[in-house]
Amino acid sequence: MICGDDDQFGSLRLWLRDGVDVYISPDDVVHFVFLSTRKRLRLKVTPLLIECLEWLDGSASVMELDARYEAQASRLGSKHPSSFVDFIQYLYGKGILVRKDWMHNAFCPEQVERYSRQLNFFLDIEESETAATALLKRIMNCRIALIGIGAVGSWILRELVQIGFQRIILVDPKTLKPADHTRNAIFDHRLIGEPKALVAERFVHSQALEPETRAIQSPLDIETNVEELIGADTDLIINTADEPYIGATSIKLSRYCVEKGLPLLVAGGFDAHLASLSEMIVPGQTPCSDCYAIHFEETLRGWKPISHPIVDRRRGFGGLPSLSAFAASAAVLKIVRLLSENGGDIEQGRGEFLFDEYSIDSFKVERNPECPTCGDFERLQARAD
Amino acid sequence: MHGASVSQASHLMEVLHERCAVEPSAVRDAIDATEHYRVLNFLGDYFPAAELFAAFERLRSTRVAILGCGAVGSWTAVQLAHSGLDNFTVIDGDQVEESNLNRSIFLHEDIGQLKVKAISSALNRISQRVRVRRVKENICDADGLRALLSEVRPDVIVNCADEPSVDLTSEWINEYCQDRRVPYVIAGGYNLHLSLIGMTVSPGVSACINCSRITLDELEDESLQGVRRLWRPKRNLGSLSPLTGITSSLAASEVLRLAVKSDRLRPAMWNRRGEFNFLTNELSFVDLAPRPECGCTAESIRSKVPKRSP
Repeated sequence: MICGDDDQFGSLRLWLRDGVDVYISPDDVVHFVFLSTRKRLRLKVTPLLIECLEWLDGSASVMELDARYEAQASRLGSKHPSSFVDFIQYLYGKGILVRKDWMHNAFCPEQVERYSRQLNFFLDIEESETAATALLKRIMNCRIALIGIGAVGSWILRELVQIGFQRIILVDPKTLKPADHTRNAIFDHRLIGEPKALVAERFVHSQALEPETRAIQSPLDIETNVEELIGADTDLIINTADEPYIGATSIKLSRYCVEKGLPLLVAGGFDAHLASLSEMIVPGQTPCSDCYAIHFEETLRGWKPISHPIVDRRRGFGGLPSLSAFAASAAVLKIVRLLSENGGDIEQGRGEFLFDEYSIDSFKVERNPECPTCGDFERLQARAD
Repeated sequence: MHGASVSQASHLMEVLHERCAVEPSAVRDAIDATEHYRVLNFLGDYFPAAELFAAFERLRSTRVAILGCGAVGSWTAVQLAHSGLDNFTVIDGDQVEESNLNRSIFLHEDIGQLKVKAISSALNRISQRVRVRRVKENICDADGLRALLSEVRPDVIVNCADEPSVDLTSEWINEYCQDRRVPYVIAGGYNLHLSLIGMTVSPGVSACINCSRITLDELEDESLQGVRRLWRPKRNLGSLSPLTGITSSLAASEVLRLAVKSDRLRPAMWNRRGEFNFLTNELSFVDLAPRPECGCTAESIRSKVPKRSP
């Protein structure tokens, strides 16, 4: 029976979340299986409560269902110690039930139309309507600087825009070339010769609901003033610029990001390997690019590679669009995890997808307390404050 | 080559060529002269220089049919066009809707258009050489699909159709493919979960979809055996673009492996299916060996099934 403070809850129309499978065993144990995370919850309940699970389709309020439950219990002459409302409240708290209109309360109809399935995925991960809503809003409001719109950057851009990022600073000094046909996700043969930053900007405007972009046709090099290049309003930087070398551009950006307390995602480009899983650098939490450089300098000490007879090998590196798509997808997943409350570790270390057997080779790199860039991050932050 | 004889040096070069470590400078120049130099250089890790261009030509001329042009189907198609494939048949009767835009390759301007037309436009933006046959049809039975495929005669089929269900469409495709010896890739969509990576089937060589079902039934979670599943009509399950990207990237890679038609680069998804874990960035696989009781070609191929390295 619902009364007093419970009135508000009683008026909710709840339904069993789409992303949860429900199994019932003969001994009246209900198994809730969360499809996206494979998490499980088992509850031993009465047969009548099991029956009422099928009523939870959002067509009636909790109060109405409670009345139906009482009537059913009375018809069966059941002495029902379990409270229907307590059961429903428990399932609601566990993210198994949701309000029928939860998306519409937070987003306009066009946004709900576009993102409803993604919001359902976020609900599976975040386990509450509020957190799922907040995650999509963080995505929509986050201002990203994407440096490099090539074999990995362009695929990242496509996915970012698909999942709702719309404030994007696009940096690339080059024009679209015929050979981009085999690697660039926004390639259009009619636009060969146009600056990639402008092609990318046009793409964002053709797709995003409320686009806000800046296209910058300049390179990132050792002399570049990062803030002058991308502005001071960036929330996250993605680096896929592999000229002169991804390690060099990343160290430059990483030092800037540590100073500003900004996250940096380094994607693609490692050893010309397009299926890198990317590295998320969060100042104060993860190793920075200098930590990685020190780590590899120490790990590879004693290795003596001979110099390759071909001096400029960049044109000789192979790649497949499907590997670009894999690398970009892994990178975008890291960004989603970074912005989510419940999405697992921010950084699982450096890793590569190996094409031969579709295996993933990854390893952990720890923050280096002696790192000249982020070793004394707290002091650096205090000075910045 | 201090102290090595001419024949020893020559033998060394032959071995390095066979193992793809060296290539004649004329081949390198020929690779450099094409737009597809990155794909050729990638294939060059598997094919010696003398075989490289022939392998790429086999890839390029492969006729691929994609059944179902939703999220995974549309992403797979564009990756294949970027890779150099020129001949596509795309099959889908639906129109592009706003709700498709969060995970498919479609643009805002495509809303209201047939998906097959929108995909065709996307592929033609990538290359003018691409030829797309558009089939505006939602296949709803095995006979209809067989008639269509008999006319199209694809070299490889990719199943991305989950209506009425991916199990059913895979069964229809399997029936046609076992009969005609055509390989197929099941791109994803099992268990209503987009991060699944389906198996690749080469009739006469690897386990078929029915073999996999026998094994999967045996592997069914013990804790859920004997339980009944609550009936849930009209579900709208979660999806996320990067998971589509991962599923489609592996489907496209499998098509490339089939298209080069060589033991040097065989499908990696024969006799198994996989799953990508969103939370940990990990890939896991379930082995699905050929099953003699299936009645396909399993009995005759058991001895030929390649052993996977541990």
